[in-house]
Amino acid sequence: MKRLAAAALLLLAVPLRAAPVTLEFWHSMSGEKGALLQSIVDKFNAVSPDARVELQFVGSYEEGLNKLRTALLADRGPHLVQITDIGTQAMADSGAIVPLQDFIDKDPSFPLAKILRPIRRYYELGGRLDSLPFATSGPILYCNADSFAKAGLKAPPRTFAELIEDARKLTNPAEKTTGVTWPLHSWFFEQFLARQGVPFANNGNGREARATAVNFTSPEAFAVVSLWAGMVKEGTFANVGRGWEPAEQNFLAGRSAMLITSTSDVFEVQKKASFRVMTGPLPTNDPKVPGGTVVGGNSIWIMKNKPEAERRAAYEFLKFMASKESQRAWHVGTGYFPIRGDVIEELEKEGFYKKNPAAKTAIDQLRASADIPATQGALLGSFAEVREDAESALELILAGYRTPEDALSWAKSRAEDSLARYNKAVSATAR
Amino acid sequence: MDRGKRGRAVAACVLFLPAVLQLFPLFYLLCMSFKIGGEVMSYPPTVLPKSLNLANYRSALHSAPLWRFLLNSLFVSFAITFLQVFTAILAAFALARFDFPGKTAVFGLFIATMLVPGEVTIIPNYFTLARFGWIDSFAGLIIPWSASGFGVFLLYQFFRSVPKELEEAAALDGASRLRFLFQILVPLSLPAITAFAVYAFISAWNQYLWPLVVVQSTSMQTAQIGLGMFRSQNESMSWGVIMAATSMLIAPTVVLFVFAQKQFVRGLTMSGLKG
Amino acid sequence: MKGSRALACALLLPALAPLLLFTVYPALQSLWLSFHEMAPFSRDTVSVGWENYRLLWSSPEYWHCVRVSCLFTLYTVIPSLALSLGLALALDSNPWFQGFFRTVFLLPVSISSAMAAMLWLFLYNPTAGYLNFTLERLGVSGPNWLGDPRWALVAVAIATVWKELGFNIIFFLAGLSGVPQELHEAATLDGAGWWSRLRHVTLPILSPTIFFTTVVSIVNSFQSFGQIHILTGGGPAGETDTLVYNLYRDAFVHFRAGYASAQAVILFLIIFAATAIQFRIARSKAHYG
Repeated sequence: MKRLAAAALLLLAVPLRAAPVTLEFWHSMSGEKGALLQSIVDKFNAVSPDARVELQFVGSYEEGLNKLRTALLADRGPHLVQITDIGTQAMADSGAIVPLQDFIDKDPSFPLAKILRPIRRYYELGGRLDSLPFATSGPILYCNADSFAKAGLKAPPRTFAELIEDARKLTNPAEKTTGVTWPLHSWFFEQFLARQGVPFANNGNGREARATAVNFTSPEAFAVVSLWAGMVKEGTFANVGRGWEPAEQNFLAGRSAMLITSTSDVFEVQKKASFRVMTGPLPTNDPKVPGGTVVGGNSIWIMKNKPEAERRAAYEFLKFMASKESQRAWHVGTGYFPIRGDVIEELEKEGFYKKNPAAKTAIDQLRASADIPATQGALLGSFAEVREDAESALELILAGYRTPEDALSWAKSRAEDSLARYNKAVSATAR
Repeated sequence: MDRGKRGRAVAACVLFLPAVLQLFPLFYLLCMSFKIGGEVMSYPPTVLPKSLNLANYRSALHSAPLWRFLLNSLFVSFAITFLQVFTAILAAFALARFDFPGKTAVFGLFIATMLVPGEVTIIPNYFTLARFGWIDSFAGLIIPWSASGFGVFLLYQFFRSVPKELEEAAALDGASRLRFLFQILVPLSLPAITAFAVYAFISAWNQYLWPLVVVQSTSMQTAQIGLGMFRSQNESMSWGVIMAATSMLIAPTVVLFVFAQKQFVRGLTMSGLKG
Repeated sequence: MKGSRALACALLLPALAPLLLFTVYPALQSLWLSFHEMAPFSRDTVSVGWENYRLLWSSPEYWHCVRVSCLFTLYTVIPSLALSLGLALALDSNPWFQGFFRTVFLLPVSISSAMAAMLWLFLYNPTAGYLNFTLERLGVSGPNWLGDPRWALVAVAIATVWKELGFNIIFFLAGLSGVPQELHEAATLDGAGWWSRLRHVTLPILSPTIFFTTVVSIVNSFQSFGQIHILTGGGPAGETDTLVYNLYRDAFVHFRAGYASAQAVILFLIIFAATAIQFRIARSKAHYG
């Protein structure tokens, strides 16, 4: 019997060796970032004789996650998939993945110790790294330095009060320009909360136990909302709606003098802008209160419904993605920060950040972040729904439809309903 | 005579402004597709491009298999149209010209299917296709839409309006019922069939949600889904490129329609729709 | 007779089989699913009784979707019918450049709603959108069309009307060609003006077409999806979250198959009721035309 099995294995192994396995990798990197990802993958394909990675763009993070879940229902899907930060808990619960840690445990050569602590703090669940953080980022403030000079301003605002004041000075109704803009996205609400040292959800941001409540009605949440809505009301904030692009377009077209968005666009913005760009950290309410930003971005997961040999090959690919070379190429090409500290040190020595100070803003900000649950980021199973609730509340408030108290407590109860539902469903079907 | 001329002039004037408004978005799209880099997002915005630069078209074709999307869409839409027309002709004939037990129930069933919103069926259909192994295939895109309750209803209405005596005369000649259908009834109903075919084609071409769920690989994407992907993939780069891709994907059906519209209008005019 | 029965069955089968398998069966399965809930990331189901329906009934958000759907129907069907009827009448009175005008109005019909939405997405762009720029030059400060809860539904409706107009015009042109010329001439001889001819000759004859077009428009607008998906994604603050869009999100974004199925059943009942009422009315007025 044993011999038969061995023979069968051998038979199976022969064709595997003859033709390299093809690994499907679903990702959400658009435009030039997609092209850069392709070039990194090409390098892997060139050096790896047994495996070939094929990239497939699957739309935005949300679309990608939906597509994956749909594919899994039919027991299909890729070998590797890039999932947005907030999908971490749902992916871990899915039963559809192989934890990266399982491979790391058997492979001492994996550069786990090199991965930056704040990044590990976000992506590790109970001390285990289930997926490979790949493209990580944080929010920074972009300023139109020409407009700043014209308004007699020198440095980016550091506090909410300064932000309001500067936005007023930079607004010019005659020229149809406003002081500041950022996308209508819950991410900014979340980051502003963390910046003030407040966790997004209870139970240590969902890390000690499953989160059951969100901090939407904390004084800090009201501080964020009144900053935001106050500037909209004054006409110093351009509310260009949902989506990442409209706000960036508004800034690049010179219609808003400041923009808050991800550091991942830092090179793109500088390249496209017809004016000088200056960057600064995310403003906060009171700089004396410890806080910081949460690591955003995405991580790559290995899917379970594939043969063992292919999963192993997928792990080898992730190891390649975690290598110094890959991380360096990705960081200097996009503006996402590298997951490895040694890449930053190396670039520092070469004087890269002297020439590109903007690329350093987010890294410094991350390093300065306080080591508290608030900056660790929330783990929520139904994060996508919670975000929708937060965004709806923000829209209602900015439009003046509802008072902040009313809208935020409505969103809070909606979000907590969805958390309760998710937690119940997961415990009911726990395998 | 003079009065008629005046009426025609008044009508033309009345039509002028709406026509401009109706045409403008398409014209604007075309202009955008020639704009390069910052020209698209400049403020104040302009309509006419600085030059007729084809760079956007080149990079659109370079960054996605647009022709493949287009061919997929055309193939799927034509296949669905053909199947829907064919199955509707047969079923409408049976309902209009045959007596059999349960006819009312069957007819009611066809009507009822018209009322089931497509979104209702998507989840279970997805599982059915998964069982058949049809996910991410042409079969998956086409077969679930191979019959249309609306088509059966429309052709039934028309077939019924053709005098019974015609068939009786044909039957006396010894023509079989099927020959009567294909040699007499179908040619006679060509306008209605054409109208339905155009309708079926437009609906199939328009499909969005179903392909979004069923298609998983890039090479199977239809024009609608492909364009959506193209948009999210290139949004950060240039809207000019997106508009160039949109222009290319719109062009074939626009041309097709300009030529087919006369048939379509005539078909509807002569079908039972006028009342 | 027996042979003809077998033939009838054979003729029905090609249409009936796919409809049974891909419309009736899934509809019934949705009914079944509506009493269940699916676990995230799996196909395991748990029976929950009437819970999904209870949740819907007591959800203000769902009632909000009902409202949005009705408003959307109102915003699209009425302007679209009025405009297309007017334009069809103008086209029917044989204007100069008739062929050109007709082609222009029918052109958007050949564009899918997804692609049409792309055009409008750009026209509505808050930074460089031409619509607001034009309004500005006219001295009006345009809203942030897709981002303002007050305007988003109107914005989606405008894009929808733009695209659907041609479709209705075709139906009306078809209907108008059925108005006998002699009737018009007779009425003209009787001294009837344009308006009274319209009221007493054209509209009564056109009434079945108007009825048909209304039904089709209402059903279409209730099922609108592509343009909402691309233009607003149901936002801002749920102001464009129609019944169909909400169903899609619960099914394919939140993956709550049972809850979504309950919505599907309700949607079916609504459309069924609307159509039944319309047919009732049509039948009672049938003797008119």
